[in-house]
Amino acid sequence: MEENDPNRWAIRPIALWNSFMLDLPGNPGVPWPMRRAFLAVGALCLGAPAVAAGPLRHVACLSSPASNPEAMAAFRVEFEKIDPQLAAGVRFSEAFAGFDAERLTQLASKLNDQQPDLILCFDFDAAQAVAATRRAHAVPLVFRAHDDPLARGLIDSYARPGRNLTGITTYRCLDDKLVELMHATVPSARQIGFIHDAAMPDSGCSARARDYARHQGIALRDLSVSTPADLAALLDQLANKPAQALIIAATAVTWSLRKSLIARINALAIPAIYEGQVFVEDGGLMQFSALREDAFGRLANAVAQVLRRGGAGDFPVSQPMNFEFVINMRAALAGNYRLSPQLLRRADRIIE
Amino acid sequence: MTPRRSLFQKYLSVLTAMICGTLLLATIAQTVLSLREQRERADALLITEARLASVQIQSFLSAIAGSMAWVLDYDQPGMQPSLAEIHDDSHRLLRKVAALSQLRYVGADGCVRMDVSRVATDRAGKCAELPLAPTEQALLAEARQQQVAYGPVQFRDGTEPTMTIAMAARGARGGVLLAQIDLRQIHATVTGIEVGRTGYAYIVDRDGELIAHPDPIQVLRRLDLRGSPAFSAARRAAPTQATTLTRDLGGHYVLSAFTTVTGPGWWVCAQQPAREAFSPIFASLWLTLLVIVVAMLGAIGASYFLAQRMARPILAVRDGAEKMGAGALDTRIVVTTGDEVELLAHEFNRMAGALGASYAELEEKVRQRTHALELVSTQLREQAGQLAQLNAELSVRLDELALRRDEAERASAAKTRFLAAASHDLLQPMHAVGLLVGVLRLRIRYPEVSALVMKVQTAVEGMETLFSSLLDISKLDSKAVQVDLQMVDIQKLFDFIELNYQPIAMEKGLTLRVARCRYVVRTDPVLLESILRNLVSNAIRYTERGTVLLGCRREGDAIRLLVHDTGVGIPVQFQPYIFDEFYQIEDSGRAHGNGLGLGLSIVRRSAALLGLPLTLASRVGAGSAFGVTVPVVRHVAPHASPASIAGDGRDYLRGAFIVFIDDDEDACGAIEELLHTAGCHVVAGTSLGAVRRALERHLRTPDLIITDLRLGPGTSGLHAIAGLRADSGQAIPALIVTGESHAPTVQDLPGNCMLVRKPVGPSRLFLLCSEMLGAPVKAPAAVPTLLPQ
Repeated sequence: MEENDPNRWAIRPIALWNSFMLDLPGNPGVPWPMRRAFLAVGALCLGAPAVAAGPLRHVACLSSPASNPEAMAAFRVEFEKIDPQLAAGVRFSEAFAGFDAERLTQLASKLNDQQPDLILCFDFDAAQAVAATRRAHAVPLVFRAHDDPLARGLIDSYARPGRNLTGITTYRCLDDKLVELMHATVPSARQIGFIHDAAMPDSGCSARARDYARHQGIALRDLSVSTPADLAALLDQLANKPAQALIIAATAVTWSLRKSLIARINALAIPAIYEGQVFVEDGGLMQFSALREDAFGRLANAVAQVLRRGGAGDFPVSQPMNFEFVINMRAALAGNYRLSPQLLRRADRIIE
Repeated sequence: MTPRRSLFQKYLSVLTAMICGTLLLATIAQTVLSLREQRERADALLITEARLASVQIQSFLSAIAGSMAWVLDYDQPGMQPSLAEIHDDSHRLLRKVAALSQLRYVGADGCVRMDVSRVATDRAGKCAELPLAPTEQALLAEARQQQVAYGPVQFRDGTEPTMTIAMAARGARGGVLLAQIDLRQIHATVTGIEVGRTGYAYIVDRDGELIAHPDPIQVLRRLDLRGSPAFSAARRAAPTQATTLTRDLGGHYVLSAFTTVTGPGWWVCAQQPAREAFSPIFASLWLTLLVIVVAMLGAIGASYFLAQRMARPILAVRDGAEKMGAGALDTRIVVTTGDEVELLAHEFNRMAGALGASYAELEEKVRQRTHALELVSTQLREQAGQLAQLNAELSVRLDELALRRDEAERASAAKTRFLAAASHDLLQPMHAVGLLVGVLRLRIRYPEVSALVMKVQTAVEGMETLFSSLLDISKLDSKAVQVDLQMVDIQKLFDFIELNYQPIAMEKGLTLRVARCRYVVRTDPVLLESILRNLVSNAIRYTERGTVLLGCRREGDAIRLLVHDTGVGIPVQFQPYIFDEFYQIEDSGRAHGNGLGLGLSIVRRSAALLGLPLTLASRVGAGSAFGVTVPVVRHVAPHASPASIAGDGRDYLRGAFIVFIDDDEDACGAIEELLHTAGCHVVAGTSLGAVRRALERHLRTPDLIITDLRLGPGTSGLHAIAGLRADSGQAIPALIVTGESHAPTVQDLPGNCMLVRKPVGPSRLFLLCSEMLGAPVKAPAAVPTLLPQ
């Protein structure tokens, strides 16, 4: 009888009762075994369900940047909120590539060989490396992407990603909305620079932004950077020929070099709107993007669902649900800009 | 005697059954009521959860609708709506309500005047630049009628459920605000609804499609739950009135409660796994079971204790009675229960005391009787010694008796052998003498010599009769006669008697009339024939004139064979003695010299041997009637009486070829001579071989065979007859003349063969031969079937 057998509660008392019946006295001179009765009652009372303590499940985490304990902690908090019992039965291992692509590939291959119960990738590059080094779709993969996984070819569709992988994305095509917000911020600006990575497929998002800008009579300068050197060169170029306003998309380069980028832009006194909360936290003027707080919740939900039922490929990829428009009044030169009341009213949050 | 069940077990069983049964019944009743109450509680809890979920959803939608109403405040009747204000407030609404993803303001003319989106760019333009979808058109119309309209749930990108709410401004000519709601916000609300520990809620739209569920995969499957048992039951019954126990999407049993969300017409279902919903019930059951078990164990313990207390005094009485029964009458039963059991023990003790006293008295008596018995035993031993002596003497006497008995048996056997020998050896010469005298009589021509020969013949016949009677009486006395019970046709016997005694009667001038008697009896034919012959012979002897009548009368299951004569009669004083041997009535009117007086003695002995009663009715001067009663077997059809041959038959014998065989040469010679006088051709011999040698010289087949039964050691007349018939190949008629006491019966004789007993006189011999050769007969006289009374 297994510990988890639901019938053990029925079988045990019956067995005890049978032991009683066999000892019924045929001769009144034989004493009744009261000790056995008490022992049996005690056995019934003391019989406690055994907790099915199975082995811990292994979730291997991979990130392309350097160690980010805050992200892991935030994820684990959300994970434990969703299913504490499941969380107690999971052990996590972390690996960081430090933005080294070769190292990332090695780590991805190694994780695939380890055959954990699940591989969790905190960024798109890590997910792509794991998917690329898979020999079979045996280990489910859950990712957090800041890109469009559909446009980047990681998934088959948002509703049914397939390939035994799923995850969340914090990406949404906001380029045209960023243009609108920047236009509302600096209505006089007729030339807005758009810093992004044109090498990344975006399903026509930037093109849509350009169309909108053109419709509004705004020239959207395409400022594509793919490497840190490109960014440095761009900033030098802006120093010589500054734009009236800037839109900075969240790319690996802009994200990783955000502080210097923000500092240079502030120094150039160019109003800029960023795509990402971290930018305003590091001094950017404005940002409009998907909220990252619920990302860990959505990611934890995806991990819990996959661990519970498997079939990662059938679990839809979660797209961002909440967005936030933040104005950082503490940004340098924030007071130089006369933000309209309408714009201020549109802000979800104003940092003062 | 070992009881099938001990008293303690009985008490224990009864008490345990009573107490446990009562406990069980009470517990079951209480459990049932408790379960019902708990189920109602669980249902109420679930319904409350469902209502709470519905309220949350309703609040969610109401908040949105309320906010939309604020935006439409800028569209008042009679006023031109301020699009800028509407635009500004729309953005504020977007900021306020996270679930809103897009707001569109449609003017009174039905054109979209403004489009504000959370993630897409705001738009405003001419009517055609911002077209409305058909569903939105329908919503507009509905909103204008009902002020608020809820659109169907749609999925953007196949993953994001959205719904449009249309709210019309006040006034008949106002605009309509279309708000697109991201229902994933409701998913968060639904996921956040806690129904117990593992329960959850989900939402089904008015078309039965799942639109919100803690498991988003279920939503993306676009499940149609119109056919699900829970949803169907909810739609049939009034919502929030009852729960249903059905299976969920995963096939597990769940308890479900549905409520409706007014407005969009959604159904909110609060569902809880049955195991969790009923866990209080299960826990209660387990606890009840535990309590029952503990209570029953206690009941068993109490029953055990009580049973012991109740059984102990009774068992003490039993043990005491057992010891008393085993002889320990000084045993005393100690019971102090103060009830009838104690009284019983007291009575047992009193009984034991009385038994002890009685036992002591009995022992004294036994001792006395034993002493008396010892004295008697001594006497008996002495007498036994005497008896032993007597037994020894008795044994000696018995041995002597055995010797005497052996001697007597040897003597009897010798007598039997003598009789057998005499039957043949004495009668044979007498028979031969009779035949020779007969021959002599036939050849003598001189009257005086003939008269002398007649006297000799008469004397010889008398001697033959005397010898025969003496032999018969001797056989009967010596118990040499063995009763051979057979079926005897009385009519045939009567015919035989008539054949043999008719001539004798005619010679004496008497009429012998034989009545028909068609019955078959079971008796010894030889003995019965002897009885009848002696009676008829006596009747003829003692009748001077008149008739001797032989017949029978049916008397119930028997017939009485009667011989009635018109003789001298027997005086009454002599009737008891006439059956004695050698007894003859001394009367001057009786003829002297009529035998030795053995005939009736033979009749009495033969009847006694057969167990047949004899009767006698006689009157002096009127005659006598002797009767013997025989049990009848059956009645037979009448058959013709044997015919009588005319004359003495000699004429018919002329020219007949007769073979005679007898081991007595004298008899052979006598017969040969006798038959020659009848004109027969005779071949006589002492054996079959001799006759065969003689027949070799003859070509003619013999017409008749006359033979003695006993022809010598190992041969018989039957063999001779069979041999001669085989030689000739014909069934030659045969006549066996014998004096044997154990002659074959009629059934044992071969066909066309007759057996007669010696002595046979010449005339009788002629008649017999004629009959065997088929002499013409004369019709028998009519005889009555019944004898006169």
